[in-house]
Amino acid sequence: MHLKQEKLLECKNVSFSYGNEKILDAVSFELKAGQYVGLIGPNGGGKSTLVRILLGILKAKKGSIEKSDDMNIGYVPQRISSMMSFFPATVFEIVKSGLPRNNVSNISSIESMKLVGITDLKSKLIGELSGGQLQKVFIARALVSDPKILILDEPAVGIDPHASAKFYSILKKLNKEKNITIVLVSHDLDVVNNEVDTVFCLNKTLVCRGHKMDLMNEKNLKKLYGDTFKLVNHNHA
Amino acid sequence: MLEIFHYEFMQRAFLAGALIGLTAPLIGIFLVVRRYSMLADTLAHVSLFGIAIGLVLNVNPFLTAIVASVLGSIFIENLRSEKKLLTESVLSLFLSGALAMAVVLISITNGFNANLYNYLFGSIAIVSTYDIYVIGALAVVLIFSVLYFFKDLFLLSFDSELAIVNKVPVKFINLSLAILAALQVSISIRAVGVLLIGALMVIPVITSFQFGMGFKKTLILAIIFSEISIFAGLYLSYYFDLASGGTIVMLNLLFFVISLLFNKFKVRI
Repeated sequence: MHLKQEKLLECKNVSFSYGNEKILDAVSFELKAGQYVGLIGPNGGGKSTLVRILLGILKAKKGSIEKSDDMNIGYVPQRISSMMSFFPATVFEIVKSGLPRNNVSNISSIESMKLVGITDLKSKLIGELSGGQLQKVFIARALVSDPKILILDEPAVGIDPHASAKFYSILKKLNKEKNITIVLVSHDLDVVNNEVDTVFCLNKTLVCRGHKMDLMNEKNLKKLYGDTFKLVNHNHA
Repeated sequence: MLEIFHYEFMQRAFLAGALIGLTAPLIGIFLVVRRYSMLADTLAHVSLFGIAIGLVLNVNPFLTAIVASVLGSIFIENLRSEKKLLTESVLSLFLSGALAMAVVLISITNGFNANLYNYLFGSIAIVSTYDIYVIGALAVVLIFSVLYFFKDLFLLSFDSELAIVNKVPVKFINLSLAILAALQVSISIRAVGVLLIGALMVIPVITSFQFGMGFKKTLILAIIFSEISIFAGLYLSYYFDLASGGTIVMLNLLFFVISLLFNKFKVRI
């Protein structure tokens, strides 16, 4: 239990702006081992920018991200682009491309494909995959770097409900069985409510954070999304 | 039928062809998947500017072409990444700009002559022993560079964001690819000439795409198509007295059309 709470990453007073437009303002939080975090907030609230800063794609204008150098962060992007369909690569080649540059990892490409249940797709071309299969390939590609943290940016957009349910069950398994910290960026509050434990509400600043039971209510979400927001409960049997 | 191999100039032509046929798809595949194929044609025109300088200064135009092409690739990559200009605009700028300068320089000398014609359309039969050494050395650099950076080039081509996350030195790899393309363009001038280089780097690759295979297999098949086109092209051009560059590219086109039919046939099944 003590190990489960190990601090993996600290985001300290991170600010970011494009020109004069402030995107993030003094955002601070910690990510601990085994957390399942939902990152929510309105469009333009800075979610994708924060993710890109956590991943090292963008540099914070102020503040810092502190983590140990040997700790890898896995990344599952939004379902990417039309070029996928013509890129000549097999599932195995794509999964393998996620290996760290020194090729040292505790998990092989085949093992990570097994974890997400796509070994049968090994030789398929990525252009032949469905949206759901493609996202599983990207999880396997992220897992092959043996990450302690897995960040997913709107991963299930455009995927049918059945496939996305399967997709989220894989994430839950990785979180519970492998103790991988998951950061899920999503517009789908229903999914956030069902899947995550902890919620970070971002609208330029970290408006609130805490257990979902305390935060996923209409009053709090109105504070985040504006007064026109209305929470509709779906029945998930 | 085999007398062709008795002539030393044809032996040199086949050797140069074999090297160029191997390296052209090796670089070309990364340009194609990154939608950067026009870089080859642009650098070819920059090479023409280099050739014009060589003709004016009476220096070996092959060497000035290599220098111009490499410098051009560095400028292009710098403008593209640092100045945030659209790739196709930068390529268009260099393609027409270099051609304009080349034409002006050529008009200063004797204007068009047979020598220039060889550089425009290629004449692999006039490859000298010295050329073979240069082509050989550059081919070795190309092959080892691509093999060494293969993983980085692949990841950067498929997903540039993940490449940054995985600490691939993106700027360095982009610049290296541009310089390697410049070297490839330079050594291809002899085989197909400035105006047909793009075909050598692109057509075998897109032909291979039609067979629906993974990346490495696609690359290997592209090299096979490339080599067959060059060898058969040289052979046919010798016996039927055709322009070698044009014959090689026409064979590449023929393979491409056949591959389209193959693809269509497979889909019907």
